Amino acid sequence: MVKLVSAEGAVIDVDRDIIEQSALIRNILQDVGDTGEPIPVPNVSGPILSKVIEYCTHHRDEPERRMRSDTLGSDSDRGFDHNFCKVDQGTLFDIILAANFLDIQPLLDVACLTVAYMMKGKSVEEIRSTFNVQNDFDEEEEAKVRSANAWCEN
Amino acid sequence: MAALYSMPSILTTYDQLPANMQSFLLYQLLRRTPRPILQFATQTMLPVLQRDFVSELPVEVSHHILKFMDTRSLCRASCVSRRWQDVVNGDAKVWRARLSDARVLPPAQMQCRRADGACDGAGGRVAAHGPVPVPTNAFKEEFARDYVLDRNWHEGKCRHISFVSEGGSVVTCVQLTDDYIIAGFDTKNIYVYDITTGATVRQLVGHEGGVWALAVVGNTVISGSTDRTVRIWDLETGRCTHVFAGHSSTVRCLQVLLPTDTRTPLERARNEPVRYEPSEPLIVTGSRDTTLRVWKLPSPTKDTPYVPRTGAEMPPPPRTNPYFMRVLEGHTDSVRAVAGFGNLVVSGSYDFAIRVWNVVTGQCLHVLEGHTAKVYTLALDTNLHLVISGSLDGTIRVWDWDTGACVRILRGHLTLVGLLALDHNTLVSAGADATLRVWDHPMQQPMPTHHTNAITCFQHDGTKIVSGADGTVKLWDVRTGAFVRDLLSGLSGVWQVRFDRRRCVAAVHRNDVSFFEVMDFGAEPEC
Amino acid sequence: MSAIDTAPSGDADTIWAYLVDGIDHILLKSNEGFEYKRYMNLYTGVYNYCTTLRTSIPLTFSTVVPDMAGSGAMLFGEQLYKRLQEHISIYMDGVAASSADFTGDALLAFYTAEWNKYVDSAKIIHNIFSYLNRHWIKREQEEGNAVNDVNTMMLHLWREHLFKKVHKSLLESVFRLIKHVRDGQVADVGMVKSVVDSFVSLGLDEIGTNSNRKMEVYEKYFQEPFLAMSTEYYEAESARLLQEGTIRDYMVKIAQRLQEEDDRALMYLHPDSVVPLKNALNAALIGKHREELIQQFQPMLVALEKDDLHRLYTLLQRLEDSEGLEPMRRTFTEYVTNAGREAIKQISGSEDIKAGNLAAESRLFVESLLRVHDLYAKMLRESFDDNPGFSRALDSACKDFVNTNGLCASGQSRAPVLLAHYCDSLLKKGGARKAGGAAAVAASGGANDEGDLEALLSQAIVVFRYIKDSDVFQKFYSRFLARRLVNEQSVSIDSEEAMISKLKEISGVEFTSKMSRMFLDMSLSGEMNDAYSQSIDGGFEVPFNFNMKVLHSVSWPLSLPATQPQLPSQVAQVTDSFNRFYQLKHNGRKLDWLWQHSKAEIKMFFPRATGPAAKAGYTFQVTTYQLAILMLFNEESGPGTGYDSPNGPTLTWVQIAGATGLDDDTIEGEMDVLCKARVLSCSTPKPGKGSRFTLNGGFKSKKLKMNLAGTKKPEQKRENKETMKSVEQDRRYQIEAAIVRIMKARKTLAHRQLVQETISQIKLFQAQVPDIKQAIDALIEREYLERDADSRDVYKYLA
Repeated sequence: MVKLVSAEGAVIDVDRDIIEQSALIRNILQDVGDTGEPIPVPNVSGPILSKVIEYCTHHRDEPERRMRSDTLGSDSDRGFDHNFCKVDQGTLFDIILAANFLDIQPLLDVACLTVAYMMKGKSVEEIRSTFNVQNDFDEEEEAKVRSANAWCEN
Repeated sequence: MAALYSMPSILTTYDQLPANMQSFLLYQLLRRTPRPILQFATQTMLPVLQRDFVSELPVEVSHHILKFMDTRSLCRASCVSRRWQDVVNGDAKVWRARLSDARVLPPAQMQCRRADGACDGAGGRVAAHGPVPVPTNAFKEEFARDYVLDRNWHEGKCRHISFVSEGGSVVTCVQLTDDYIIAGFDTKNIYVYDITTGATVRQLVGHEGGVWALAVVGNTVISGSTDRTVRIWDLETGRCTHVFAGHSSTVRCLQVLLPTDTRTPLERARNEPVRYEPSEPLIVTGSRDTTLRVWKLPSPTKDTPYVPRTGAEMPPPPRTNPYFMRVLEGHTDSVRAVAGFGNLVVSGSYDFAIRVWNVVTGQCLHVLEGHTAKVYTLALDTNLHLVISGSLDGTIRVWDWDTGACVRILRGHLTLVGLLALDHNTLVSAGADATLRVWDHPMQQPMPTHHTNAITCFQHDGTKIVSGADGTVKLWDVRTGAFVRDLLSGLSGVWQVRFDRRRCVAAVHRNDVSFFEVMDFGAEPEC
Repeated sequence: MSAIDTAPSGDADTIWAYLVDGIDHILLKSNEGFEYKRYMNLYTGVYNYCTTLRTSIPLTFSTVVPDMAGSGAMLFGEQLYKRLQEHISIYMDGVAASSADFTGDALLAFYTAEWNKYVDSAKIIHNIFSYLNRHWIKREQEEGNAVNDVNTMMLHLWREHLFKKVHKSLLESVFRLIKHVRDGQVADVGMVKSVVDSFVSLGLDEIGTNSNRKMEVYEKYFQEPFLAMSTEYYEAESARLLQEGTIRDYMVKIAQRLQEEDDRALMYLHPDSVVPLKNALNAALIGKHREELIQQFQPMLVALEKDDLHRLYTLLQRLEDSEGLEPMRRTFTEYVTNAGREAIKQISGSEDIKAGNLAAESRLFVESLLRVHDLYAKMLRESFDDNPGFSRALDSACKDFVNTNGLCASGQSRAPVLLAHYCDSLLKKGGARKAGGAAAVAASGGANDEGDLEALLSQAIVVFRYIKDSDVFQKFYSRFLARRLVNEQSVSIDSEEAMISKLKEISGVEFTSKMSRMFLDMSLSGEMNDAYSQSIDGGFEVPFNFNMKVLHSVSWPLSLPATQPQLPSQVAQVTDSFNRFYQLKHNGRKLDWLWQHSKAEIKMFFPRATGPAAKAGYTFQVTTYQLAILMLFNEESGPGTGYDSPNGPTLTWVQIAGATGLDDDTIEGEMDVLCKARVLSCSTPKPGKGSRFTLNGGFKSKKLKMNLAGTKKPEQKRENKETMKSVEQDRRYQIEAAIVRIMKARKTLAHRQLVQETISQIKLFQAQVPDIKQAIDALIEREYLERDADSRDVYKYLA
């Protein structure tokens, strides 16, 4: 059992084999040793840390996921991974940051894939409104940019 | 009115509350709020909850997201905002990865065609001070060109011209250059056509028998004929500058050997010194007289012409020919196929055997025996040092050219394997059994089989196959093994097909007349 | 200095300052341990350095400040990496400077202590900088730039700053330490291990990926000098040992030294060096003195010193086969062959053999062979670890002396004959095993039961494995088997069948198929006898006990009788009846009666007999021929009978021949037996054509039962000859069959190839070239083959 301390100071208990899906925690336990002291995770808030642990718990006993960072979950996991990422943008954003910080490659992959899917098939305007991005091109610029990328349109 | 005055203090109170009290208070307020106001609140709140994943994440993470996007979405993303444009186009890595994936090459080997060096590092950062900040990314441009060309191939969008073959009706061989189509015929003709207009540019006159082997290197055309001679031509003038006699029967196949770096990938990785072989350009010709002959490749413009005046009846003894190097003797029947790499020449013969030669010493290094019928075609894997051979016995054999051992036998074709081509680690074979087979290399399981009519010719470039069968010219996707489309149909025969990145040329037979069909997928289609 | 409690953020220099503090702690005070918090803060510092520095720049500047565009971990990554590299370099310079204070063993101690610390630190720093590894470094590597991960980079720095400076003196110390250990002094081999590890780890090449070159540093800087030094040490050591003691002492000592080195190699060497070191030591300690060592082999063999033999084997086995074991095997083969020959030579002078006692000879022969074989088979087990090469050497020696020795001239195929005789004596009732085989029985432990027989047969099989001409053995064995079966002389049918299955195991079904068939005939005949005795042949009753065996002529090595006797009518009646019975069952099969193998039991009453014999008569076991002859003398005699003597008729040779229809040879043989037994009296000293015979009315014998049917010596010799002849015939036939088979497949073949293929096809015996030539000529004559018209040396098959 490992104790993690979130950014706001909440202590969360988690089985070592679960949280070792994070390369950072794995290294820390290896390099410092298991002292029984709580491990601070100052960059991740309590709710997000809980989400991350939920993900890792679901995927425990899948050692090959740790080995092959380039593959996404197997078919049976798609459902879980898909639902797992059905959250508001803010949460998804924080999950990506946490996965990147904690170095959990499969989680980073599914979360990034989810973002990519949010853009799939959308027009430029739709993308802007999906992510609330301000168009800072002036008209001439925009026309240039559009025509430079016209080749991908039919 | 009093309520209005108390507002500042309400706000101050709210600000001073701890976080959990804030949420409690807000909850109570929302409960008391009518629907229109709630709708207003939602409109205000939603944009706050939205996050800009591309601008706000560490850029390496943003790039990771881009990896999962399809090309069209990626292009649209680059139009979203300046910052997005920067993230998508500002780093060479994004587009280079895509290009290397499309071209089946490792990223480190991806070289951009642009010579100005703009593709090194992040391609487009230079455009910052221009009035219009559209970052250019050489990899993206390259990718876009490929993408459009590819789509045109797949959709059949091309400028198509068709012209009647002037040189004869049986087209034996076709070669393409940037500007010309060079075709050999079973009569004694070699014709040069303009690839854009189809106009006959010139004829190469001199052979006294059918032309069965043809190669083009720069401006030099090399041909072999049933008249037993090998001729060298200047493509620009059409002049025959050299005639090599010596074979005592039809010259059936030829291979040009240009000085090449013959190191294996491993040797290259170890930075071993570059080895160029052979030391000068050579031609190797294979003949029905069972021998192969090795000649120096002359330059039609720089070297003194060598056209012995004797007629074909009495060919001059070869030793007077300064270009003649040696005879490779050992086969006991016609030499049907020849391939080469560096100093190594491999020949396949109707005597069922394949021989591996060193052209410099003339030594026969290995006799590869195992086929139980005539050998028709050869391919070389220069990285793995493999010889691949196709035979009338229906098998393809893979041999290690260093040891001479047969390392694999690929079975599947029912009869003659007459055509083989290896490109980008993919082996494609076509046979008289009307199938085209794609073999994953190095030689795992064959991919699905494609049926068509008996295949007379094909070419592949690692991503697509163009094959000619009796009535059609078909396009296939190598990687999925799927049939894409008929490029041509309704023909009575296909003599030869050749394609380059942009263009596909087919010599076909239709209504008893031979035509050349030229499809240019890089040009805007005519309306 | 910022507090270590919070993760550093802000500008690059602030973060770096914090990181430096942590790195120094890891490098210098790793033993003090580390808190999670600090570790996490350092990691976060690296993360912030790579990420937040970029986001702190306003977005609107992104296109105006080109350096910042699309950078993030990229741009600051490089800066951070360079800073880290620089900082570690300075640290390494410090370590290198400190190392200058030490020499010799102190340097070694310093180096290993620092190294062990540094390796751990490098690993931790690598992990703390993992964000840099994952992004900036990975990207650089993807682009083909020679940037190493943090761990590799640190090892590089160690190599450049310290290793290159001290490795020479370090190596000297290590070697001195190893020498101490070898000299038997106590030393810390753990230090050797650390240095070896550092040599291996430092074998990184510039990119850190190419595994081919990984061992280069180790091999060049450590292994090569180490091997040279080891060779030198042990060459000196071996010279000293040889001077101090005998070569036998030397063997004991170096065996021990080699074992020690093997053990130590596991403790401190890299696995890659174990074999090279072994080779170097083998060369220095064994290879250099191998001739002296091999010279010890023969004396050890003579004295049967099994421990020394084992030691010598173990030592020489460490060398290349051609250097060590092969010469040893050669000596072994030669020695065993001679030992085998010598053993046979010793028995060949024995009385029994001189007297031509085949039974005794075969027994002595087999026993001697086995003694030699068993002795060296035991040696193979005890001293040569059942080494397959030695096992083959023993086999080839046995093959040699079993087939060619003082009793068996080469080319005579006598060994299989003797072995077949031996087997016969084991399996025959009242054979040599009982009479003369006491020694064998005693040797195998006493009690004379089936288990013993089983053991003796297994030993016979051991010899059989070495027999070259197994076809000869087959012929003789089946002849003896046939005789045992026909005469019902087998000790036990179970043992017979056990023996057959052993032979089958070695030589295949084909080899024993006829013998197996013989057993089948035996049991079918038993059933046939029962059936016949219950049959009613027109009311005919068999007047005496009648027992026959129906044998398939193809399976049995028995020939038709040379002569057809006129049977006594009582007997003729029975055989006719049986013929009818048999024809009813198996129409179309022809029965031939093998009279020469038939026997009868008769009771004879002699006129002047006294005592119990007068009442009970004498019972004789006789051959059918003897029966036919004796029945002639059964006529009544005395007045009115035409014979005046009370002894019955007196018959001349001619009369006997006329009455029995036997040929002269048979009559001569049988008369010889009957007269010698004094059943008949002969008018001449030796029975001849002019002799007259009469019953010996005064016949007297202590035994009331006698066997007159025993085979006679001259016949055995003749049979042996005949058997050899049939072997030769069979061989001719087999050679011809092989040639036809080969030619059928090959159609045309050159002479030399044909001869070679024929030899290799025939397994049962060694086909001789002249025999093959003869067979080819015979086949050409019979138009199976013809000579090629163009080249006489080539044959063509004529279908």
